[in-house]
Amino acid sequence: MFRSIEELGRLKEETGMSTWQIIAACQNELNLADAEEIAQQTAEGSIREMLDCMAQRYEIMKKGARDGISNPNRSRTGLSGGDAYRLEQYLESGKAVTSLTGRAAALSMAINEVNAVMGRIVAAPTAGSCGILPGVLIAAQEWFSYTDEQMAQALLTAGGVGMVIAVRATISGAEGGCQAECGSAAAMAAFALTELRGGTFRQCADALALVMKSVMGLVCDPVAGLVEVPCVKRNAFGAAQAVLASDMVLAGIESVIPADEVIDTMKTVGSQLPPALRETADGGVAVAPTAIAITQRLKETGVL
Amino acid sequence: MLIEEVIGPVMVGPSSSHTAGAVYLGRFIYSLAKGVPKSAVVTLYESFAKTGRGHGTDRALVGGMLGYAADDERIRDSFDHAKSQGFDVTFKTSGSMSPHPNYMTAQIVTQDGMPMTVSGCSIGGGKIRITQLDDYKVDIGFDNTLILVEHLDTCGIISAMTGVLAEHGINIGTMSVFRPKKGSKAMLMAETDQKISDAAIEQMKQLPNIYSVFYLTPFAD
Repeated sequence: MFRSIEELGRLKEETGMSTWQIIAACQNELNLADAEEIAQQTAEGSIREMLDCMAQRYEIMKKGARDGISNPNRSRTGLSGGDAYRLEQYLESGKAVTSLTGRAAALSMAINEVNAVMGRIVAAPTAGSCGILPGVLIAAQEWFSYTDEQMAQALLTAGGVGMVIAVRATISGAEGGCQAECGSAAAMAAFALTELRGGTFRQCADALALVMKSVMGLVCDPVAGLVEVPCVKRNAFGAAQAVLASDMVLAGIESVIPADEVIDTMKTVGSQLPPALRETADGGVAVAPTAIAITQRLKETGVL
Repeated sequence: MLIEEVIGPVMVGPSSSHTAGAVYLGRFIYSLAKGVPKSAVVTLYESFAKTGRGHGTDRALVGGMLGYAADDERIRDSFDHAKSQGFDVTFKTSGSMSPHPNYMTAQIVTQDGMPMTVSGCSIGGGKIRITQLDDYKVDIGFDNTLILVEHLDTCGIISAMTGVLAEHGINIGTMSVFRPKKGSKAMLMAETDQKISDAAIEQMKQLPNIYSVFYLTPFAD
């Protein structure tokens, strides 16, 4: 099993296989040199099963996006809900200046708002960051008319890349801060989107690196310990970064620091963050005066 | 690590450790109790206690104890569902330290009137560890089918128990044996690759020096 983006890239160069197929083959412990076996498993075996699983999960993501974006209501706490709806209305009004970016952001918030009210979601890689990857992919499918099969492949690619991040660094806010959750999700989305758009492996890796560098040190500071503020809107920004990163690398912009080194850096920086900034609600905006007042109010009214 | 753990699990929000993990803890209890318990008193510790309400940890635990899967949207209203089924559940929080920040202890009574105490924690990504069953200090996950056999700690009994599994073609993945005291009641816990048939469980129960057998499955009905 590959343990680095670089190794994944090398396997791609050696075999000429698609990224998603290499990931699936490795997961199922298939011999990468056995093209016939891999083709067979892709048509009707273990790889097909994996793609079907991703396709099913994509449907759940799409439903969440539809439910969230049409819901103007606030959550029980009043801290989230209705913002995806608001942004979507604004985008449709023609006054917005972001197009694919805005749509990806709106969809990301939609799904994360569903998460906040105990709706059904797919952790990708976590529940707190669950809006980013689908927000970007669903918006991209609308924009570029990708097929459902391509989307299942993209999820598989994102999953494989996410595994490298999880294994080399962390995807837990409690361990690494929000850079590990929303940062990882956005990095996965950047990689997958760039590949969908026809980027080279190096460009996909650079997109991942650029996004992760842009959120280096991002703390996890949830107001009242809930997964609402600033989580929902961070999902929007994560989606936006992923979309922009794909444009940047396709324009020929390169990441000076390679992806694996950025991932390793995220791990180190995460461990250097004090516990107050790692999902304890003891630091960051969670202890801003307004947040403290909100927490107090929620406790007094029995919501918390 | 599996791809399905990165693009997954499918769950109700908002948190894999405080919601999905809690559902699995509840579901372990449901499986152990062979159905929805009659009553439960659940104590939440540390992070579970602090952010439990906001993350729906309590609703998720109840949902699991009602047998719901981690992505069942009925979890949102699980307190109402519990009430309508006559399942009496109360929650407490403790200021004491616990072996893990996401920790709970449930004192339950099954429909048959049997009391049980289960403690466990949610370690992230929806994964759980059960750390105590009545007097037995244990350390088990709940990814696969589990067989728990309470037996007398005596020479040859482990061989007899595993022999029954072998006879029925059941492969053991991980296994632990716990005994609070030498020569007294002990607990064998095995994660198995295959489901365990009623015949195998019956045969296990008929072995000498066996007190009880529990068969748990994490998969939703």
